[in-house]
Amino acid sequence: MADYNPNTETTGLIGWIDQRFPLTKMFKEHMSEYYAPKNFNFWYIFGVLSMVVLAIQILTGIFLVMNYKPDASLNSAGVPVAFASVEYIMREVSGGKYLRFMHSTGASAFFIVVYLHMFRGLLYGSYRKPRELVWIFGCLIFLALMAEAFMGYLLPWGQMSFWGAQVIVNLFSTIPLIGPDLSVFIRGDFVVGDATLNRFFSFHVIAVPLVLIGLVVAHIIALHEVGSNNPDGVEIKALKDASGKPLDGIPFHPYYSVHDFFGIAVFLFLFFAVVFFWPTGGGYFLEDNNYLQANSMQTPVHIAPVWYFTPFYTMLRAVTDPLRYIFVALALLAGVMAYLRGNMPQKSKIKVLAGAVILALLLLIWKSAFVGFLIMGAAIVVLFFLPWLDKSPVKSMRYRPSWHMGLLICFVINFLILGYLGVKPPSPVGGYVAQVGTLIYFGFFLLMPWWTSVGEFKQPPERVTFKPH
Amino acid sequence: MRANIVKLVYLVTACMVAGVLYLMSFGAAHSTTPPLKSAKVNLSDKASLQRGAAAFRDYCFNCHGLSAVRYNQLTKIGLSEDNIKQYMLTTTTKPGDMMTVGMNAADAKKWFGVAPPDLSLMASAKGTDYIFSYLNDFYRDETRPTGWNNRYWPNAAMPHVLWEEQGTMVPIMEDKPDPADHTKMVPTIVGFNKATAGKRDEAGYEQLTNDITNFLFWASEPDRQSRHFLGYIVLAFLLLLAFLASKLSKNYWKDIH
Repeated sequence: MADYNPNTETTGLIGWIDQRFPLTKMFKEHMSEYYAPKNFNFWYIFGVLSMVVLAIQILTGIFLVMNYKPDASLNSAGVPVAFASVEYIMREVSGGKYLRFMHSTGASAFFIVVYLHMFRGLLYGSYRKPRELVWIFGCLIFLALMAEAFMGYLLPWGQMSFWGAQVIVNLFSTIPLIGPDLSVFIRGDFVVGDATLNRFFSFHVIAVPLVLIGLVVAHIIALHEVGSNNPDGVEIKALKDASGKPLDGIPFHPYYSVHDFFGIAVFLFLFFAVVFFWPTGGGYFLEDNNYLQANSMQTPVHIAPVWYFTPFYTMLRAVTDPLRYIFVALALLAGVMAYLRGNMPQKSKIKVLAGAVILALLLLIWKSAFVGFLIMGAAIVVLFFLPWLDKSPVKSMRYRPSWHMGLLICFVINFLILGYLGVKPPSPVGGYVAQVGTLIYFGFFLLMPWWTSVGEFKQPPERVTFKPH
Repeated sequence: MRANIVKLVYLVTACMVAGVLYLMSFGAAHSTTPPLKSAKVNLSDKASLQRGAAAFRDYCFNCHGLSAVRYNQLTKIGLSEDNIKQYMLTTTTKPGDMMTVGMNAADAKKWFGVAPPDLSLMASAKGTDYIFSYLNDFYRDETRPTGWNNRYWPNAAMPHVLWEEQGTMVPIMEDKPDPADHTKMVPTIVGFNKATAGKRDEAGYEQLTNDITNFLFWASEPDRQSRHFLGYIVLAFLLLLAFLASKLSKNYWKDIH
């Protein structure tokens, strides 16, 4: 025998495996000897719930692919094959209706739990040092999820699938110089067609899910390396007992596994209540217009993306010339302020000022449609910088000035309003609200270095606050 | 200064909420089509579904297919296989066939301008109230090539196929403010007069169109009721599971102080 490790604590089958594969070691590292703070609250359930939804999406997806046909051509009844294959799943595949409703409800549920999971991060400063990479992997997951949802939405080949994809892919054509060619490259055709459907199918069922799973693994490995944050923002690893276990930590398994099991059961109750009794989600989870087959000759009166994209879509729509000029002014103002008040060497000041002037000029030259596209992208990119934008001396909202919480609540209301406006057709009043909302969204993040550092902070305790239950 | 900026953010947010509330109230009053009439759909009413299927066969099925429904699915609304063979099938169709129309989609487009849409999912796409309102709103309009028009789908390519049942309706016009621009007055339909009588009275026609609506609602998801039945079982199981899980969790967490 070559050298192998015979000194395992385990025996029998597990022992046999442990001598060849670190099964028990991994189980201990990530479950039974992963110490999590004992004061997790309601907000800490959404991480595990997003894993549950991911599992639901993958499992139902596997069976949907067995019967779905990515084919835009018309069958003998004049219905696109892809659209008809979805109805075939709904009516003739045993259990197909439940697979399909679970998958469509799962898409919306995914965004609901992920948005709540991100809100938890904002509330307790979960992105702060040393958890920057946990946050960045999370942002990448969010980005991959958006790509996954967008491409999946084309597959039923309904009216909203078709026109939603048309609108979003056309955004790329606003990019100066390369735009028109780029949008043809993405579609594989001059219009959204069979080529687009086939490549989106490929991306939706293999490419993006692979990336997504890899990122989820990275997210969890990074989290388990640094340990979980908690509602008090206290680092539990700072105080350990004689055996090296954190005083305020408890083994993830069994304590949080049984706790999460309860949370998952409650979530599944709500999830299946929607699947069985309200699968269209009032026209938001499955849009009414998507029950009409794709028709390139008939543009729907009102095209909106699915609800989970609408906050970002509203920011895109909000960028008309007045708002673009405000951005020009703000870029110049930021440059001048950095020059006059900035705490950096003279050379850097000049560079920042020059950068701001160039940005202002570009914003003046570029068309509003392209600037809107950039703003929509920036709204997501800005999330990546959150760990470095937040300068608050304490992590958790519990020990920050109450008006910090006030601003966070305003941000959330603003985000919901942006979402609401995106599902509605454009209107003059809505346009103004959207423009103010866009400025608030970016103001919240870009002014963070300033507003998070001022106010009366409370001293966080050394130990977590915990009431036994 | 800082406190004022925070107050300003609160104020702006409040204004935005007010703006959205204004939009919500404003949006409802701005519609150009009349409000929908409500259909009475009831999947347990097998007689209504069967009458709807018969009317569908007589009036709709020449142009509109139900390409996602097989003939033998009609056993679910209480028709026997013999009924289906006798009343629904043509000489060339078999019970396992899809309920498609014989007409070629390209020909249909040439004849009508648009291919008559498949109705398998129309109740999901447009809603049952829409279908019911639409079927009750055909009126004479000599400016249209078909001689008919409809307020719920203006300038529809479809003629009033049920006119022998309903009779001929002519609109009563009055000048009303334009919904898009309240300063202008436009001639608006405020009601209908029956010019010629049909086979049915008003209540009879409403029942006929309600039966068709009910049938199309059934066709949009033939096993809707079994979904609800299974749903109660699944939810009952999950409720029990959540209860046991909560007990289990509490039991473990007793150790944590």
